[in-house]
Amino acid sequence: MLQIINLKKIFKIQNNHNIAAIKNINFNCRKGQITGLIGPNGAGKTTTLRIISTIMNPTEGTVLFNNIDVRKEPNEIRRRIGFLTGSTGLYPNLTSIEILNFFCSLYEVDKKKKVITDLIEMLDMESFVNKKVDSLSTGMRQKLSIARTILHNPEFFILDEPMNGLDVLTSQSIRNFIIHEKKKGKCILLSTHNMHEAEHICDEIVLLHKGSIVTQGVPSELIEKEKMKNLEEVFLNFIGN
Amino acid sequence: MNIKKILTLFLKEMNEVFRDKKSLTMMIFIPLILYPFVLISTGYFSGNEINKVKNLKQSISIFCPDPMQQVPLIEELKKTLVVIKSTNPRLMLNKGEVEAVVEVNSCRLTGTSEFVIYFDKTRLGSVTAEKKIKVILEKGKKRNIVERLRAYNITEKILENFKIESINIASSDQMGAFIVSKIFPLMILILLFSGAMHNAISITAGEKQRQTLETILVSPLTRTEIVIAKYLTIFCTSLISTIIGLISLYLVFSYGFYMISNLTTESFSLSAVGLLLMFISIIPLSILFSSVLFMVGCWARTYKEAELYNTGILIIIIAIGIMTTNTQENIDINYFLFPVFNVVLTLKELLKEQVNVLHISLTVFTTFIYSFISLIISQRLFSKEAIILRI
Repeated sequence: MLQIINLKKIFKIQNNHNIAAIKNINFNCRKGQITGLIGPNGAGKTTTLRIISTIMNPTEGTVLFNNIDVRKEPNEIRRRIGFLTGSTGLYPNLTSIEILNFFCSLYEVDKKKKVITDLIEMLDMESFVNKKVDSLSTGMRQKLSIARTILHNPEFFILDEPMNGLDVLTSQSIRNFIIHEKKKGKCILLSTHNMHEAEHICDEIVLLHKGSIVTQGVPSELIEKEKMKNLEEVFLNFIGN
Repeated sequence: MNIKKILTLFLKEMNEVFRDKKSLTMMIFIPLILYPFVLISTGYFSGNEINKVKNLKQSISIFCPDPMQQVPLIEELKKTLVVIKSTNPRLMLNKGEVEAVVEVNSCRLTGTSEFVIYFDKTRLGSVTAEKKIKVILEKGKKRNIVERLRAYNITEKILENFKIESINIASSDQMGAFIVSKIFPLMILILLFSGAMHNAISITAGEKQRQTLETILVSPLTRTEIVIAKYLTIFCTSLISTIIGLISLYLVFSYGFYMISNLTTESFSLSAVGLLLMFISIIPLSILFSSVLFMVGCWARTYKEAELYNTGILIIIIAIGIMTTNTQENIDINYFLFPVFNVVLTLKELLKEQVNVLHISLTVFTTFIYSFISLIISQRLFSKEAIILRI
């Protein structure tokens, strides 16, 4: 289980001016569940995900994954997480198989060849496995990104707007992948702008606004509690449109 | 620290370098093809141009108020130059219709003549004409003095009691080394920096821009391991580019003089030990430049921003190179403490086959210290999330 305890992040900008991107947030993310992190632009979603994924350090607070402190043992956490964003790039001059080989070596994956063969088969990548990333379509690239994210069999997924800017078919394949991993008992933290998607695939919702959690809970319960028709209305109700 | 993981990232980066056309162009094509081509062709064509102009008969004009004085002078000049009659020779010179104008002012009373040569120093033909006129006039002057002395029954040997002669004691090899020492270090400096520039930007600021850096940051590699792997890639690129450049330039200067031997008497050769010592002196600078490139790449948000900073640094490096190549001999030892300056000075010495162990040691040692400091700063920068994540 992932535990976010009193997490705070302050960015120092020019003229000794500080901006609190996250203000003492607390939430949990359980195994076999998808936790949706939603909020408008600048709410602090990406900052939260970056802290959890060890890219950033929090100003205050703790992030525990299976009781391992992210700050104290970042390398241990990195081995256990799969990080995917909609904007993540891939090395343009390498082929898909080279990228998979490279990340398998970094994560010290056992039986590298078998893992790669299985992934290629599972994600239907045979047709472009030897092609350079430069020449791949968006859908092919996204499949490769998914393969890269899951090749070390992570226990926990951090997905930052993974369907952002993708067409319907590619979004569908990502959605299928998320649900597939959830069924395998993985812990998934998903940041998204798509309220419809969040309402239907997330088991729990955390709504962030201006760095604070304004509400959290099961989507259907939140809708009922706020007496709204859907999650989008709940979102608008809290954000104040 | 996991060496295997560092090696994995390093090999991946090198793989990308060798597949990137821009990196290959900067690292191999420019030092191997472009530098030799530019050097040989400019040397050959400019040398040929000088020879061609020397063999031409330049047009000149003479302005002489006394026609009696003009006759012997014109006859003399006509042998090597074309003398054109004109009422306004200076205007013709300004228009470029003649290459030089000789103004003769004679005084019949004293029997003296004053010759003023007008020419345009920006034109090769004009400069050549001026030299030819001077030679002819000097000969005429000497002949005139001899004739006058004879009239007084004095032998011309009286003129030889005071003879001035300059003899260049430098051999053709030394002269070649002197010329090469003015160009070679500067070119090596440019190669060291520019050879790795594109690659350094690509694997730092370029990765930020392409958003591939995050995938490495969340992988089980520590920041230090990432820094080492990326730094090694930049260093290797710089070194490959420099080795190719060093060999290429050595061959160009060795065979370049041979190719233009009809134009010059200089030659150039360097012993294997000299070449090795040059390489040893260059390595620390390659380390320093690599860490500077890495530092800039970490700092910059985008490829273009890094390119802008690096272009500025390259201009400073070129300026230092030009300043140092034109410094005097027996320079103060303190200069060997300054980065870049010291390497250029050491290279200059080595090209002239002057092996000064103290200078080489000081250069290598101080540059290593600067490199180490720069590398620590780079590592610190890479650890700062505000810098590494700013896009």
